[in-house]
Amino acid sequence: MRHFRYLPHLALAAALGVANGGCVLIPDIEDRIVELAVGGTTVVGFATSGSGSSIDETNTVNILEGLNIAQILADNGIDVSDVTDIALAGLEYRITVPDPEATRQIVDGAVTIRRGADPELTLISGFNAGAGAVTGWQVAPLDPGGLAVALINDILNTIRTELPLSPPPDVTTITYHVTGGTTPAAVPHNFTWELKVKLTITGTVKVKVLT
Amino acid sequence: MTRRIAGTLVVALAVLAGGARSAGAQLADNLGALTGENSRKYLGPLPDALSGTMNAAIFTSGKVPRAGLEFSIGIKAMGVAFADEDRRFTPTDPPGFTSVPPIQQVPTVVGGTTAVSQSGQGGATQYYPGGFDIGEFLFAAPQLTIGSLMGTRAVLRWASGSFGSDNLIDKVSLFGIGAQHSISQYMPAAPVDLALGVFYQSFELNDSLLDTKAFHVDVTASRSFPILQPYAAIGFDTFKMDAAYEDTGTGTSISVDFDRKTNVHLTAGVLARLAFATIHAEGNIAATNGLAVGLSFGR
Repeated sequence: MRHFRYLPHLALAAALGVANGGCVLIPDIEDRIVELAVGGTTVVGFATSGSGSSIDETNTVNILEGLNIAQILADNGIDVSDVTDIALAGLEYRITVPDPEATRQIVDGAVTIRRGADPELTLISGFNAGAGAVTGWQVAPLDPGGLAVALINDILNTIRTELPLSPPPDVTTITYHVTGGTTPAAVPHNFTWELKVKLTITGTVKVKVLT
Repeated sequence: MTRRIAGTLVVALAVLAGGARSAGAQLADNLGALTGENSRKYLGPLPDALSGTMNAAIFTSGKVPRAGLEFSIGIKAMGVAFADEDRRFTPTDPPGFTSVPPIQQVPTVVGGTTAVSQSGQGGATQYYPGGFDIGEFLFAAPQLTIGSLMGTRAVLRWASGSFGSDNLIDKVSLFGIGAQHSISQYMPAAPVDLALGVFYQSFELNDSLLDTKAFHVDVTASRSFPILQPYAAIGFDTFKMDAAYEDTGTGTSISVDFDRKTNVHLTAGVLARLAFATIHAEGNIAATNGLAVGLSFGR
């Protein structure tokens, strides 16, 4: 029986050898450069509080403080040198700590961003949501203009090209501005929410394929 | 980045050859960027191709002795060619992404190697992974035949391999079992040898990345000449494939169940008994039309 252990290998080798003539069944190992696509996310938290019928908050953040692209690439087994593009695929939000007022609503909310002294670009617009209860992830409507998304994509790819180092802070620091109406106006608002930034990443890998 | 031999299509060969590590790891990466519906479309060409190959070249003769020792071991290699329409699909927008025209066609697992960018509302972008640019699908399996008792022989296929837990693909396994029973023993005047065969196969990558189950039943007719033995068969196949993987964006597990497929399977081939081995070649009209060859030793 010992000899039979090797028969499958022998048979395979013989079959491949006999058939080595370009027939459809003849395996041929070829290198392929395949472009993969993976997703990545990062979550940023916000606390919103105040009184009256409107929300108006401005803050400045360095994107690198909340977005670890190197880690996202590592989590997906991607070498940064093989990444060809990183882009924003979408935004989602959720209420993590609800407003004490169960009927709390955000009406026609918007988020703008700007880098340095550049003009504000609208990222999210026409945002209506309930904030009186914990929610699951909901789609945040991107502004149709797309200019803010273009700015984010530019920052992402600047970060990518600088890895493993970081670009100067003025490149990755943005000021965001959250505005919108809120009801009921007579009751102060106070809730915490999160924004999930969904990224789509593409890069090349070299693989061997039997054809 | 370091990558390994890719493509589920080569797994059986890789196991036999003993030299491949982590076949299909790249496939898992590519699936991780897709929602369940798009994974179903990305892997769409595989069920027919797997069904057409796994269910081929199992029974190559209608002649089953009533009794006596019969033993053969060999390798079966089956292949099918993909059509152009197998190479691309129109994706379904993932949650939270609304595509804007022009709507792109994107590669399936056998399609072009370039990722495709789809523009979305608000300037968003969604990348879809490239395929492996594969024109033909190959599947190989070792097969063992043992008989005969009461006009019945048993047929087994088996292959497995483990590549280590540090690989995304750490385990591959193929198992098939079936039997062929002589019909012509009840019909002595029949001009050909006839046998009824049934065969069940399970093929898994990483236990669950791809989990396939195939069932084949046929009636094989053959006629023996001094060396050659032409044969033909009519039967049907059923095939079920499921996939499970982790979404690279959210880390959530995604299961994709493909519909069970059933189809008629017609085979025509010829077998040659040489001094030291038996070889055969056949054509199949099944879920996907294809060719198969085999080489075996023993009687």
